[in-house]
Amino acid sequence: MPRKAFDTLSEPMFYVLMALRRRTLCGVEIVDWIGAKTNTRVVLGPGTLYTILAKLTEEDMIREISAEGRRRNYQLTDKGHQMYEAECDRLRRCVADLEAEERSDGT
Amino acid sequence: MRKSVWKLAPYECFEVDAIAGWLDEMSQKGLQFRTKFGPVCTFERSPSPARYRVDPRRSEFDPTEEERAETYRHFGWEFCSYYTRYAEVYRAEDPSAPELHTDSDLLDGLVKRTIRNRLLLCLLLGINLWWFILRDIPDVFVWYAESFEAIYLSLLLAQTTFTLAVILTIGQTLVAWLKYRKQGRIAIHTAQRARRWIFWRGLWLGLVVLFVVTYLWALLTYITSS
Repeated sequence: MPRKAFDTLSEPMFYVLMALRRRTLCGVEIVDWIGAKTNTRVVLGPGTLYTILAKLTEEDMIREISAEGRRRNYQLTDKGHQMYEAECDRLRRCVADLEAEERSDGT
Repeated sequence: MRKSVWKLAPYECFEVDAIAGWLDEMSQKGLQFRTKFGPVCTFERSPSPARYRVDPRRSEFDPTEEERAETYRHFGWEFCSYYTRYAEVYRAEDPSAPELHTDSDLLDGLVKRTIRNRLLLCLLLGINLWWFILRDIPDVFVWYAESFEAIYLSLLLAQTTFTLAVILTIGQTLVAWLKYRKQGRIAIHTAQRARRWIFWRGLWLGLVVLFVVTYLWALLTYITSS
């Protein structure tokens, strides 16, 4: 069954929400933040970044709060916070299932 | 040696990987993409190879366009030209510049939107062709058959070549779309595919030239006879 849009977040989307959770950032800063946070494991191409920003804005998960010249700063909305928390919950449950499975493999 | 080289553009605007592959190949051969107008791409002879990537346009009025261009530049990607109104071509000379698109699913989504817009354009083209041209062709044919006047012949030829050119345009888009549906974005550039597309593009260009000539002939005939 195909995944419905925003049923679960893709990894790059999740990290964009994480980047904006406690701070406002512009596009370049988001990419740099994610690269530093994941130790360059997650690399966000600039084309992918703007596709994600457009989708998240369309879904009202982020909003543009200020513009300095050409740079636009983004911030999470309440809906974005909710989606982020829901995804964190889901991931924690996945990790808990994984650890339980590995423990049962060990016994 | 001429500094500027013109080539017929193969591939539809939504075949982003194939276009990028073709431009990369041209770059390796010392031809750097400059711009595209109509079916023709212009290249500049330059030994500095670069990577080319195609970015499907998100909308005609993208409020983030300037910011996006600046961000792309920050990561090493310079805007080259539009590849039709639906796609933008970017160029990176730095081999360490990150890929423009790193998420295949998201790029697929953009490509699908481009295909939808392109198919809609083909539908509008088809409707206009039927409404303004095809319905008249039988009448013009009868007029010519009855009078053998040059103006009707030239008009008939102009309408026929225009119709064939439009049918070819729609046909090329449909074939590329069907291939995309079957193979997805893995439809990459190969010399054979490019040659096949260039043949059909050349045929299309020939029909357009023929249409212009016959239309001008019809106009001239009308002016001289009145």
